[in-house]
Order: sequence, then C-alpha cells, then structure tokens
Amino acid sequence: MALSAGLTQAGFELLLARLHPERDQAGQKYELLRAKLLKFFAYRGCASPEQAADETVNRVARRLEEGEAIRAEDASAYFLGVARNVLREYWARPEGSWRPLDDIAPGDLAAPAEPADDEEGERLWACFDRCLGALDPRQRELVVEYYEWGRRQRIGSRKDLCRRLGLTLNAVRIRAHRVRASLERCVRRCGGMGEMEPASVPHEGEGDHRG
Amino acid sequence: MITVDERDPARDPIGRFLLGAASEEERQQVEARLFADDEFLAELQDREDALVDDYAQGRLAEGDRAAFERRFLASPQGRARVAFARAAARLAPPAAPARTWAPAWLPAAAAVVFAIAAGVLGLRAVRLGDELADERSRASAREQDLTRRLDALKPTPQASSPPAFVLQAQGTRSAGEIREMKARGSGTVVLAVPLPAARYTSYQVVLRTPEGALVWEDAGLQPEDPNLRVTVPGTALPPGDYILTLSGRRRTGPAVELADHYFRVVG
Repeated sequence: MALSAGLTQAGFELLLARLHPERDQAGQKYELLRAKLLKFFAYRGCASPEQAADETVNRVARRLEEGEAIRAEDASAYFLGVARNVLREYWARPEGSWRPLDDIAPGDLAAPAEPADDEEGERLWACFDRCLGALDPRQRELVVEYYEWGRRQRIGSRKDLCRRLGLTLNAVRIRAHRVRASLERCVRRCGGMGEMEPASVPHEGEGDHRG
Repeated sequence: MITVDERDPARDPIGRFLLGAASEEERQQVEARLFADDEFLAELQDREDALVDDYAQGRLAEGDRAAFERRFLASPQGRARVAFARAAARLAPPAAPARTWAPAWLPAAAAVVFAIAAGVLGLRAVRLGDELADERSRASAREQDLTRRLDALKPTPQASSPPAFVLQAQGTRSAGEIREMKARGSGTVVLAVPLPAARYTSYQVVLRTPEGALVWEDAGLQPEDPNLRVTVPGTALPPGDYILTLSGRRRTGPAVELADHYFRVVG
C-alpha cells in the first residue's frame, strides 16, 4: 500500500481508521478508492490523474487531522465531493496545466490515428507473442478466452467461462483485467513504450466465489 | 452473436461516458455510481478494454471512432493500449474450446525431451513410439476418409452462398487494372482472394481504403483451393477504392504479408 505524496503518517492512519476498523480491510478500501479517483480524474481529462488523486486524499486526511468528521456512512461519496472541488480548482488555474479532453479538436491530437507502421506492428506482435507465452497457462487461457482475441466477432461466451471457473462475472472481470494489465506492461517494456501503468482494478471483492 | 453493425457504444450512458460523449448529468451519474458501487469500477474497466479492442479491430461506427480517437489517442498511454490491442487481435482464433495455447519453443523443447527419454529408456520406448505413430497414422487416415464422406454430403457452396468477386492477383491501381464490382447495400459480399503457392496454416485479410482507414479485418482464415473466400457485410463496402492485404501465418511466428489486391466498388 503506497502513501500518497505529501500524506503524513498520522493523517493516513486516521484515514484508514475511517475507512474500516480492520486495517487489512481498510487498506483494500484505500486502494480501491484511489483507483476510483484515478479513473475519475483520467475521465475528466486531467494530464496527471495521480497528482490529482493524491491531492484529494491529502485534503481528506488533513481534514480528519484537523478534527473534521466525515458524516456520510460511506466515505466514498465524501471523497467524490472533494475530488470535484480539486478538479474545479485545477480548471480555474490561469496557467491551466489541465485541459478537458472534450475541448481538444481531433486535429490537435499528438499522434495520428494509425500509430503503428508495418515494422512497428510486427515488433509489437513478436513482443505480444513472447509475453503471452511467458504467462502461466491458466492465465493465458483466461485472458485469451475472456477477451476473445483472434475472433473477428464476439460470441459472448463469458457466462460459460464464469460457470466453468465457479466465479461471479465481476470476479472473472477483475482477474482477466489484471492479466491483461500485466501483459500490457510486458509488451510495453519489450516494445520500448515505457513503463506507463495501465489503469487497473486493485482487488477482488469478497464473496466473489460461488458456493 | 454481436455483429459489426451492432457495435455502437454510444447507445448507452456508460458507452457515451467512455467516449466522452455523455452529457454533464450523465457523466455525474456514472461518477456517482463509480464511487458508490465497488463492483462498478471493474465493469467500467471491462467496458473500456472492450472499447479499445473494438477500435483496434475496426468494429466501431464512424462517429464512435472519431470520439474514441479524440479521447484515447491524445495520450501516449492510450496509443500504447491501442497498439497492444492490435497485437492481441492478430492471435489466431482458438480451434476448439479445450485448446491449449503452446509457446513457439514448445515443439523444439518437446523434441529434445523426447530424444533424452528415448536414450534413457532404450529401444522399448522407440518401439512404443513407432506403434503410437502407426496408430496416429491410421486414425488420421480414418478421419480424412470420414471428412471426405461428410464433404460429399454437403451442398455445394454455390448453392447457398452469394457469387464470389474474384480479386485480381497483384492488382495495381495504375493503368486501369482495377477490377470493379457492383455495390451491395445489404447482405454480404464474398471476395475470392487468390492464394500464393506457398501455403500457410492460416490467413489474415485487412481491408482498407487508399487513405488507410480500416474497413474490415478477419484472421484465422483457413486455406481453400484455389482462393480464400472472405465474407464481408455489403454495408461495409460503399462505392470507392479498396486495398485488401493478405497475410499468412504459420503455426508459430508472426504473420507474413503476402499480397495487396486493389479493387473498386461502383454504385
């Protein structure tokens, strides 16, 4: 569990205690909340969702340190409110390092719509092939079957997959996405596309297993 | 089955949200759900992955494609995700539900292991191997015979399929060599793509406009004689010029580009 930049240990402890009385559960809730904040800011067009998510967490922790109480039963709604304020403030900055994506014209995009030439495509394919081959066989089967890679049309077999694995759809979603995210990281490293972290879902909720 | 024409994420609020096409009210509703419902993050992520895959495989409608590009291709991370999805789309389709994916090095590794085992176990293992090979050979002959008999019972393709438009081998766009076909607003178009002499395990076709826009893509196609038959929805081929790129793939390794075929659809 990583501390947000600028977050004090005391503030973090108060935050965890507010999220759940048990520390492990609180830690999971914190990771999930941070993932939600990252998504929120990314979809609002923030250039640095991590920075904005950290600022949101810091503000909530500071308020708790100052003795403010979060009255809402579920702290998530409170976080969303603070996140909206953070967003408004960044948009209001005259130097505006953030720019809503909706304001960007297609012509302003940094790259053309067809990013990979033949050579680049072949290189990435070789990386993909290698990274897929390095996966655990069960993970490999899961990710290929779940996303139906290689099929021109969707056949919608996910219910069968969930039944076979004895898991809920949400649990299978999370597992498949985790494998996909790790595969993406491997391909990026191999293809020299840097170490950018694909957005991911941090944990599987309890009660995902059936029976 | 979801067909290409039905891939329209802008039809529901979550799809519009992901494409950046949602109203402010819709957007706030999706955000509120994101924070209130712990399972929704995974669903949203799943929809996003599907959207990236759909874009990479040319399954999005024109308007959705433009919205997607504006939202996802503005960042290096978004572009990397699309590049990844394009690579993933090149996987050959699974042959059977119980298929086990094998890495490229597996046949060679298996041969080495077999050689060591034969040396250790001696002639007995070799004899068993021979017997197994004989049995496999007999089983294969029986299967081929059965396939021939089943094929003989099937109606001929011409009886049920629309007539195929045969593409010119190595057609070029110069000197009036482009073959022309009549547009079909509905139904399907069957393109017959000449296959080169060297055979591959499977084939892939990518259909683009001369400007490079992806029109149609199909992979894992099995070779037929003398042409590869590719079925494309008539709506995907309005009047205009097209380039079909044929690639072949062996059991392992990347696809190899084999030929470009130019053709024109006229109204």
